[in-house]
Formats: sequence, structure tokens, C-alpha cells
Amino acid sequence: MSVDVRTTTVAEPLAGGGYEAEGLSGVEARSPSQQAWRRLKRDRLAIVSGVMIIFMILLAFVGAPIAERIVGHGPNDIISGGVENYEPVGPWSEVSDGKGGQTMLVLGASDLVGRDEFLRLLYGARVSLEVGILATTFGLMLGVITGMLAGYYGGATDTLVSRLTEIIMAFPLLLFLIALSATLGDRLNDITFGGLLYPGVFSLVLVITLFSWFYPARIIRSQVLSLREKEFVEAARMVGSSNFRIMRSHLLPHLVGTIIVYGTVTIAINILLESTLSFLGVGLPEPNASWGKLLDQAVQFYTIQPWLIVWPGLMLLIVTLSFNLLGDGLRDALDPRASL
Amino acid sequence: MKRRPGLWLALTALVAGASMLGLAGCGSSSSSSSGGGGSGGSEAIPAHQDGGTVKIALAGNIDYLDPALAYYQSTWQIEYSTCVKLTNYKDEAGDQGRVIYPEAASSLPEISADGLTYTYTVPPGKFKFNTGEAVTAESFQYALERDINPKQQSYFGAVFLAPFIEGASDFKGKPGEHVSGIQVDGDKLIIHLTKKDGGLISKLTTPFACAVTKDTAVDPKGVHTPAGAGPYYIADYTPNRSIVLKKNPNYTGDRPAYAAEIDYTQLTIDPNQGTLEAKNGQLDYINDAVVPAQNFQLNKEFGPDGTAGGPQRFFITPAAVISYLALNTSRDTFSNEKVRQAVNWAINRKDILQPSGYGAGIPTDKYLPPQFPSAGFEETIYPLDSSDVDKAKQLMQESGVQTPLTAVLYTCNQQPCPDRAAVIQQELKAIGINVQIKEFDRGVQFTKEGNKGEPFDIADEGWIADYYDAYDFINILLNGEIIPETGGNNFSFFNDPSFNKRMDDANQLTGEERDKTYGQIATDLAKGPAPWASRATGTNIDFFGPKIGCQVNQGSYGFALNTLCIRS
Repeated sequence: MSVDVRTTTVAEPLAGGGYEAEGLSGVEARSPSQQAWRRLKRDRLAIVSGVMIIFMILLAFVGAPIAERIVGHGPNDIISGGVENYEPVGPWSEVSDGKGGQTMLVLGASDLVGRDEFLRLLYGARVSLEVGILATTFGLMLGVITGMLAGYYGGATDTLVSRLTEIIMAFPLLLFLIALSATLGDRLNDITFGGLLYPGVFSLVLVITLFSWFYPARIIRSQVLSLREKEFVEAARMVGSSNFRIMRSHLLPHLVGTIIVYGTVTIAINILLESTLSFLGVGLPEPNASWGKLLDQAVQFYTIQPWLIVWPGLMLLIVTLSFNLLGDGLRDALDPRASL
Repeated sequence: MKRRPGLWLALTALVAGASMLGLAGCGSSSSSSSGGGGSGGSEAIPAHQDGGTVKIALAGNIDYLDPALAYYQSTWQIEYSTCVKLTNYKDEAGDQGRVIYPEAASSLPEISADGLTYTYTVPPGKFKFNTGEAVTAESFQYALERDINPKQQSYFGAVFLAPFIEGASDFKGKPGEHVSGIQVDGDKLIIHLTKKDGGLISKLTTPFACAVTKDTAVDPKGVHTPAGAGPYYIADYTPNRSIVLKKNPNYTGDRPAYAAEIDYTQLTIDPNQGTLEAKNGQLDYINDAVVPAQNFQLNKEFGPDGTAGGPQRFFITPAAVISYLALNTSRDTFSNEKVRQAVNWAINRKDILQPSGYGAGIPTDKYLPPQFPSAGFEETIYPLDSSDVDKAKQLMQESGVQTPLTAVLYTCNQQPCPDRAAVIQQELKAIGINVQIKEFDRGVQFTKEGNKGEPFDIADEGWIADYYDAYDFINILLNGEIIPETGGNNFSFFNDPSFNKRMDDANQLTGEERDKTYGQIATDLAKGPAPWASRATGTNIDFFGPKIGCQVNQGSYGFALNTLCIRS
């Protein structure tokens, strides 16, 4: 009787002396995901990056409201004492809150109206992560669907998708994004899904999604082109599986690794894209902050408070580096040819 | 904030000696709460070399170099050095720079007893264009007809001249056709009006009335290098890139022209780059490219008492500007005048000014700049250095309007506009008005706000005086008789028949009676219907490289380019 090594623990002795007799006692067959996890655990940089990403997410979504409560003012509140001699105050300044009390600006003020740089940095992380993760998710979904359809069906569908991706790839991406953000943004900024997102996040997600699906589509297409010729697809077809079932149950699991690796790298790219758009003035509307906006505002202070450029720049560096390193680690971990 | 692109200053003779509030030549203006780094800029002429090239950069590009169309502050500054006008302002600082004197004309015009005919005498050959052509009465006749010509699409011609000059509305600009109200008789230029216009001399002192050669084309896109009869002429213009001014070899006037060439080497420089280059001497002069956040430091180093030593290089000069929030009376949010008054009480003008940087203006609630004679008759009504939220809340209650209200604020997308909008947003929240900020490129913002039906409630706006007369603010910005479907500048869409009549009547007046009447209209507007929440008067900020001398901070057009010299 054959044994399904993917699912059965083979520690129990088999007829004929079993593994123990052959010095293979305690050896387990591992699923591909278990093998990947073992490989990933050995990649310290990837693990540190993952931890850093989780830390950033916690900082943005849990830490920011806590910090707001501790300092006693919000990220958009105007602190009258935050500006001295028409310059934002520096880090660790205890200043007048304009209501008769004192308040602490941990990283100083971010602008000439005295808003708290530290809180804006934390809340800015929220925007950057939301835009990065959501745009990547939607972009990947679109890319995977179109790529699978093109690769699986071939013919006219493939031609249509391929030409479409080529056309979109030929666009001057940044210029087009700026134009789209400037025109669409005004109309879509008010969509917040009941306050779940900041005004402007949805439009950023939308425009970035529109231009981040074609690379995954091409990668997925080429993989499916090769996978569809494999025996297991032929077998599935022979037992009467529908095309949809083949794509969902047989092809998609083979693409998960690619999607995860590409996704992590794309998140970093999209976070940078959001920052670029915000830096160019077509990002989030006032008063909410994003890292790109903070950078944009900081440029005017580069000779007075150079730290204001450093903080958002550092956050962007840490997050994008973390996603990139995690992506690298995942690619190595999910590579079936890699040794355990 | 960028203002009406390009409106610039001029002045009636009446302005001289009026209440200047110590603005001109104000080396001591640093006592102002928001700064003001001194503005004299008229040191004794230092040792300098003849010739040389002055390098200038602009952050905000230019609109046109064609006198019929140019309307940016920067282009009026250029035209001041390249143009000859019937009457002009002298190359002098402060009040003296706002006194009208006859330039191409032999004297100020003779005005008929009924006030409807103006006669200028233009001695032929007193001035010559760089092309060699003499400036004559015909040069001005053609210049004004070109402004009025509908094919030229000059804002000035349509708004400031056509409603007053006889036959202007019938003028089609056909070859050989003339406006019946603009006649030439020998060396006389005779202008007939349909109704009295107390501001005509001032209007004809703006660069729109520059002399032009007879072969200057009528072109709504603007002529790139019109001939000049001033100390300099425009030798070359590459749109979006550079402008070259050269000395007019045929200039016969007495205005100075020291540098051989004035080059605008960059027209869209990044302000950070521009400030750095001017500081290091790679650029000789910038004005709109100074980073507001660096005003304080630059003033400390290069201002009147600069720590860097040497002559003053950084200048902050009060300008005839009013920055205001136009409250759209045609929409529900601000249809009630008590709500508009509440906004005026709720805003802290000093805080709103802060993002514009050191020396960027002085809080005001007035509708007229302090340089205007009429401003002396205008009352202060609202708080300037604080807000009165209780009073504002009380007015909101009296209005009977249900709060919270939502108000859409249009502003520009360059600093300090977004920061300023954030301050306004926070201040109006306190009285139950939730402000939604919409940012646009400044040009787009301005155009949108001028369209009827545009869905905004507050416009963050400003207006620089074309000339020193209240007509330019009150009638041009608030008379509701003509609000076009598009391209308007009555951003509050204010249209009150009783005020319209008062404005029209006031423009018939002259002298102190005119000033008093306009001052009263401005006070009544602010107190009653309150279509604006005025917030600040403005300043010009200029920064020179280390080698530039001979600066004259001309009272009407900012620093005169023709007087700039290179220190030896």
C-alpha cells in the first residue's frame, strides 16, 4: 500500500522492520508550508523584518491612539507653543498648548502651525500601511485573476490581457498617477467607508491599484502557461473538473508562493508611491498626515529643523526595507529547490 | 498664498502723503507683530561697475510679456523697466514712488469741466523704442485700442476701459478702425468717456497702457518680445525657461540703467534651490522664490541689522494686498449674514497668518489695503490678534441655522495654503462649521472659484492692487451687477442692489469725498453683509545676492530692475 507522505506521520514502524531499523527514527515528512517555515526561521533578517512590520502595524493602529491619550492632544491639533520665532520647535519640547496648560512635543513640531511631529508620524504610518497593503491586495487580486485567465485560456483572452498590460506599462506611470489623483481625488476623497479610512485613502488605493496589477498579471500568466500543461491539470480535466475548479483548486495553490513574495515587495513599492504622490501634493487632503506629506512639509525647514526630514524618511526606510527583506526571505523559503 | 496672478500696484497722485501707516521706507517696521524686516532699499549708490549681467530666477513662472495681457506681479516688475507710459511712477522708494508724474506726456492730462474728456500731449520723439520707432500719441492710441480689441482678450480692456470709453463697446478691431472715444490730433491724445471715472489717470499708469509699436500684432496668446521704449527692452523670451532684458540703445529718458543685461535664468525654480543660490551668490535676485519658513533666519542674517554684515540683502516691504476668505453667499452655508459675521469673529487672524512665515503680513479685517487713502476712513470691527468664539457662537445661534454646517474650502496646494487651511478648519470647528479642504493648483483654484455654481463655500483668496484706488477692490471684487458665468472674481458672489448702486456712485466722485465714501462702503460691508472675512495685508519679500547694489525699492512695483547694479 502506498503511503501519502504529505499527510501521514511515518514514525510508526512499517512492515519489514520499518524506518527505525534503517536509522530513520523520528523523521517526519513535512508539508511544503512546514518546510518553508523552517527555512524562513533560519533567515534572521527576514524574521527581524517580519517582527518590525508587526511592530509598525501595532504602532500605527494601537500605539498612535495610546500616544495621543498620553500627550493629551491629537495629531491635527494646532499647538500654539509649537512655533517659536516662526520656526517649529525641536524635539523634546515642553510648550504651551494655548489653553493655559503645557504639553510635550516629543519630536518637536512638524510645521509652522505647531502640530505634533511624533503623533503625525504615527498616524502617518497608518495611512502609509493602509494604502500600501490595500493597494497591493487589490492589485494582486486583479493581477492574479487576469494573469490566470490569460495563461489558462490562451488565445484571444491571452492576447487581450497581454496587449492591455503592454499598453498600461507604456504609460508614464508617475505623470499619469499625478493626473489621475488630481482629478479623481477631488471626487473620491470623501469615501471613507464610515470613517474606516481617512479621507483620500480610498482614492490613493484606487489609483495605485489601477497601475499595480499588470506586473503580477504577467508573472502569473507565464506560470499558468507552464502549469496548465502538467499532468495534474490533465488529470483534473479528465475527472470532469470545471475550468473554474481547476484554476481555483489546482492552479492557485501553486501560485501562492509567488503571490506572497511579489506582494511583500509590492507593498514596499506602493508605500513609496503613496509618499511620492503625497510629496508632490496630490496625496491626502488636509489635515491628516502621511509620511510623504510630512516629507513634503519638512523640505522647507531643511536648514532650520533638518530632523523633520529624517523622521519620516527613516520610517519609510525601515518599513520598505522590512518588506523587501521579508520578501527576499519568503522567496528563498518558498523555493522548493532550497535545502532545508 | 499666490494671489490674483499678477495684479500689481499703481497709485493715484492723491495717495502721496496720505495715511501710509509708516509702511514705506520702513526700516523700523520690525516692530510689527509679524515682522517686517525693513524696506528702505535705497542706499546711496555704491561703487559699481558699468555693465555686467544680473541673474534672476522665478519660482512661479510668468504669464505674458505682452502689455495687454501681462498681469503677474513679476511681469509688471519687468514692464516697469521696459515700458514708457503716458504717466508713470518714479524710481523712488515709498511714498515718492507712488506719485504719478508725466512720462511720455508733457504734463498730466487736461480734464474737461464735465470730467468726460481727458487730453494728453505727447511730444513726438521724446522717447524711442529699441527698434528706432518714435513714441507718439498714436503709440498710445494703438496700445489702448489693442487693450479694448475683443480679439486681444485683454482683461484690463474689457473690465477697466471698455465700460467707460466712448465707442469701446462697438469696437471690433477691423483694419483701419478706431475707437471713437480715443482720438489723436497732432501730438494730442484725446479720450472721451461715457461716464465719469475718477480713477482713469491711475488706470492709464498701469503697464496695460504701455506704449507699443504700430506693428505689434493683436494676439490673444500674447506677443513674446514686444518692443520697449523704457531703459531696457525684452531681447529674448523662451517660454518656461528664460527671459533676457538688454539696455535700450535708443533710450533718451533720465531713468538709470546700470547693468548691461538682466537675465531671468530660470522661471520655475524650486524655492529651496532659489533661496540657496541667492544666498551663495549664484543668483543675484529672487522674490517669489524665497522659502517662507526661512524668512526669519534670512532676515536675521541679511536683513537691516543682519548678523552677516555687509549691505542689506533681505527686504520685507508692505504691499497693497488684502488676503481674505471669500464666503460664498450664493450657497446655503453662507446665505445667512449672521453666519458670515460669526466666521469673522471666530477666526484668529494672527494664527492664520503664522504658516506664511516671518514678516508675511499684518492681520487686518479691512477690505482696503492701508496704502489706500480710503483705508483711513474704514473702521476696524473684528478682533485681529485673537478670536471671540463666544460672540461667534451667539451669532450662530441668532442666525437660526442648524449646526453642524459643512463648508467646502478651496485653497492652493502649495505651502503655506494647506497649513493655513488646517488652521481655519480648526477655528471654524469651534462654532460648528466643519470645513472640508480641497486643494488645487493655484491657477485651477482661481479659475474654478470664478465659475458660477462651483460647489465651494469659502475661497482662500487675495488681491494685489492694480493701482491705489478703492474702485480696484470694492467695485471690481464685490459689485454684483456683472457676475459672469465663468472667469469672474467676485468670489463671494455678493450681489446686493443697494451696495451696487453705492459703489457705482462712489466711482463718480473724486478727492476726499471719494475716499470717505469708499471707506464707509467698506465699513458697512464688513459690519453688515460681511461677504469676506479679511485676514491680512501682505508684504513683498526680496532677497539679493551679495554682489548686487543700487537697489531702489520702488513704491509701486517692488524693486526696480533698471536700477540694479553690480558692486565693484
